[in-house]
Amino acid sequence: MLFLELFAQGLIYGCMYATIAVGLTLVYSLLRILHVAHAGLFALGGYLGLLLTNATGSLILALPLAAAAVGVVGMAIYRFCYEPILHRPPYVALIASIGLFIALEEIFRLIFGPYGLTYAQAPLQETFAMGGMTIRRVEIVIVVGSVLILGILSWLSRHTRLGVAWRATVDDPQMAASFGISVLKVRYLNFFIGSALAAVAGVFISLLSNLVEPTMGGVPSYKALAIIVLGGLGNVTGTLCASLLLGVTEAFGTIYIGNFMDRDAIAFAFMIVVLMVRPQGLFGGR
Amino acid sequence: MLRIDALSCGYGDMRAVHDLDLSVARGEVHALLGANGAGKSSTLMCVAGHVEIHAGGIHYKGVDVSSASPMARVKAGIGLVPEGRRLFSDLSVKENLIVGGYCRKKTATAAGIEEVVAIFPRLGERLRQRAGSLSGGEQQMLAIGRALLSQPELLLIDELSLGLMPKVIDSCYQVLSDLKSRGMTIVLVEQSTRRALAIADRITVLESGRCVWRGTPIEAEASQEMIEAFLGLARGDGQGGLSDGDRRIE
Repeated sequence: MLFLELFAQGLIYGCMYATIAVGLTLVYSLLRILHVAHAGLFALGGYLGLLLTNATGSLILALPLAAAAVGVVGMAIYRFCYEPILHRPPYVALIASIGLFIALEEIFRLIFGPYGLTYAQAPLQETFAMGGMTIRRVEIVIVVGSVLILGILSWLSRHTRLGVAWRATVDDPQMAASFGISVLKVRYLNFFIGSALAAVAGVFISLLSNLVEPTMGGVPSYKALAIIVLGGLGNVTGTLCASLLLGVTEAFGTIYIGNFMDRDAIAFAFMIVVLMVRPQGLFGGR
Repeated sequence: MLRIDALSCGYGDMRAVHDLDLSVARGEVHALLGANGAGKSSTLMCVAGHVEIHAGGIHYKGVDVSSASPMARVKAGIGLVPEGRRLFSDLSVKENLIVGGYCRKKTATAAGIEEVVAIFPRLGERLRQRAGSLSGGEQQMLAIGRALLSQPELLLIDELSLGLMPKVIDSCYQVLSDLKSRGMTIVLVEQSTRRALAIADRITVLESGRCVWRGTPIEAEASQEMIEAFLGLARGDGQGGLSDGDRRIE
């Protein structure tokens, strides 16, 4: 029973990690930028989801609105922060991204205060028994929602002209442009989808812990970076698998080696061990 | 169809082509020949819009396209089969063809894929296969097919025979002959001189980015100086024909 519970816990966290890390890997695969500010968008999504839910009383309305709004902010970040420095070496964009992330945290602190906000009436907190385990509805929503969203995205990328255009642009932007694909539109779309995914993950975690705070993006940002490295940089399938693996490893680790390491330390220890054996990541090519 | 006036182009400060004039008539196959680094591929990529123009101009169907984007040139009817194929290796054969027809209507793309499959039946058997897993010959077929999907009137082909087996090269050139007979205008960069001379209506020889000879294949064959100096060929069979030895310009 403990095994099942830990596995379910790992699956829930793994799905959440996948939702945030896939957005990050989308940006990396297209622009080769480590978009650290993605975690700031994750926190923004958490804030907007909470504020909109409190204002409207409807999570169903708040979630897509928050995702769309953060998607637009992501596009603005590309336009005003990254596009002007794309011709510079990659570390310039990385520095800009870290600066932006810190700035976003401070903006949240200034606007919403240094302490966390909570839902007026946290939705999806009802519990029920399933296979001998006690599960909250929000946990089911996280797993089903992540699988649905990522599954739909995967289907769209393979079965629509726009999806094929996106994958072609990731493969060879110059050739893609020469066949009439607007690389600029693909980049905007990429930032919109990636940022919207971060927002969804932010709303999920705010529901799970009934809390949003200015620094909530900190740990997920490091973990998402660890995940995309583990998955093989730019590899979406690898990112999904690494997310689930990390979630499950953390869940089991907190029980069996939790006396020596906390949950976050386990994640990084796991990454270090894997990278010592496979420096290219679990699913990356040499 | 295509007129290049005093074209100089290159990469940053480095000039690959100097003061090149070239004209290609509708329905003509024009071969660009020369040694490695002569500027053949740079000329082709410049016409496709991928290499920066330093001076001069490019006119396509009477319109100055010198400053047009690669996308605009594809829409205008300039198709490219680049050196090394440059397929989207993670995409399937069918998806590569879809990208080829991206600037056309969806219905035109579907019809175009059927046409390409009729030309290259082997691609039809591998529509769902990853392009990166195809053999060299199949990849070249796909590169040609992808360019045809954009419904070009002018097809730019860079190093068609590079790295392919003779039998595969034969079938690729057979396709070019068919396209030629259907009135397609083709500019061909090729190191295999014998094959280029066999299909071309006119040839231009480049050396260090400059035009050093131009004429028809018959004139090239008749010009001993041109053959020895630029094509590296000898009249080996004593009958005035080109030998079957190493025809490559190195």
